[in-house]
Amino acid sequence: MSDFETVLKNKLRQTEDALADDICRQLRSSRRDAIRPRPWWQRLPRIALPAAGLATASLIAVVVVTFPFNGGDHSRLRQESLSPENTAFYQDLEFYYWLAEHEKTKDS
Amino acid sequence: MLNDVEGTETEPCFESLNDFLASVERRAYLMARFALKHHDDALDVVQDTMLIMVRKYADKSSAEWRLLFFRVLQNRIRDLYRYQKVRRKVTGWLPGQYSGDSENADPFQAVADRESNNPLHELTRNRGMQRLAQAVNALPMRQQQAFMLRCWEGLSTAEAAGVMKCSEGSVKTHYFRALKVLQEQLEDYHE
Repeated sequence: MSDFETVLKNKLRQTEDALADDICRQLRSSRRDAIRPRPWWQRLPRIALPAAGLATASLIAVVVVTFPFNGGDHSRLRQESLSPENTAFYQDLEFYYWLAEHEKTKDS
Repeated sequence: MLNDVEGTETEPCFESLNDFLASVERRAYLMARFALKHHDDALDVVQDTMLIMVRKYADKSSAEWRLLFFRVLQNRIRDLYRYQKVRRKVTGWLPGQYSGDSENADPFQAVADRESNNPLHELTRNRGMQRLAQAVNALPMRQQQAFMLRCWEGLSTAEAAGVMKCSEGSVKTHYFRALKVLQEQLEDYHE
């Protein structure tokens, strides 16, 4: 290392020690922030949050598609409508309409 | 603590990453400030580098920390330098837009002289510092990096090449050119 390089190096090293107090304070604070242990949620990989969000959305979509939202009454009605008596009732619905009309005209 | 051996320095031992970061934070700040010419950007770069060191390289051996730190620092400086360049091109024509050069261009203005109470000495000394800062500031980015890593940080050519991601020949060329320019500009610089 030449004399010139040594002079420059010494000068540059001097400047480190003579750096303004407020800058040193900011650097110390940055270092403390970096060293401070982080809570567990900050230690998760960056992909974790979007991945968790996507997984939740997919789960909700699967639940909605597989189990459509039906109240208790609706599901009971659906079960009733599928029962054999009701099937027969609906097959003969036109007859019951005709009967009702016929009874009306008979009364009048 | 540090001894020169053919341009390189013996690795000092650090008990913890905190001690190591404390030993390099000022130098890192000044390097970033020289390259980016912006106080806040320089602080951001140093903080990012410290965070990366703690999160990714804390478990590495203390002998590796110095090279890793300066590699991360130079990468962050390069990224931000490119970002600044693009930002200046896109928004530079707008009034009141960001301009790194106009704000605190001289890193040595932040240096407080605690040793001297003689105003004349202080004045000449600060002028010398300003001349040095201007000369280093005027260097192209790669020459500046080579000069800082080789002369200031005391890395070997091979180490500097690793940090700068280029060949040893390139480092030698950049360093030689930087020294030549500085010698021309600071011919009478003996402070």
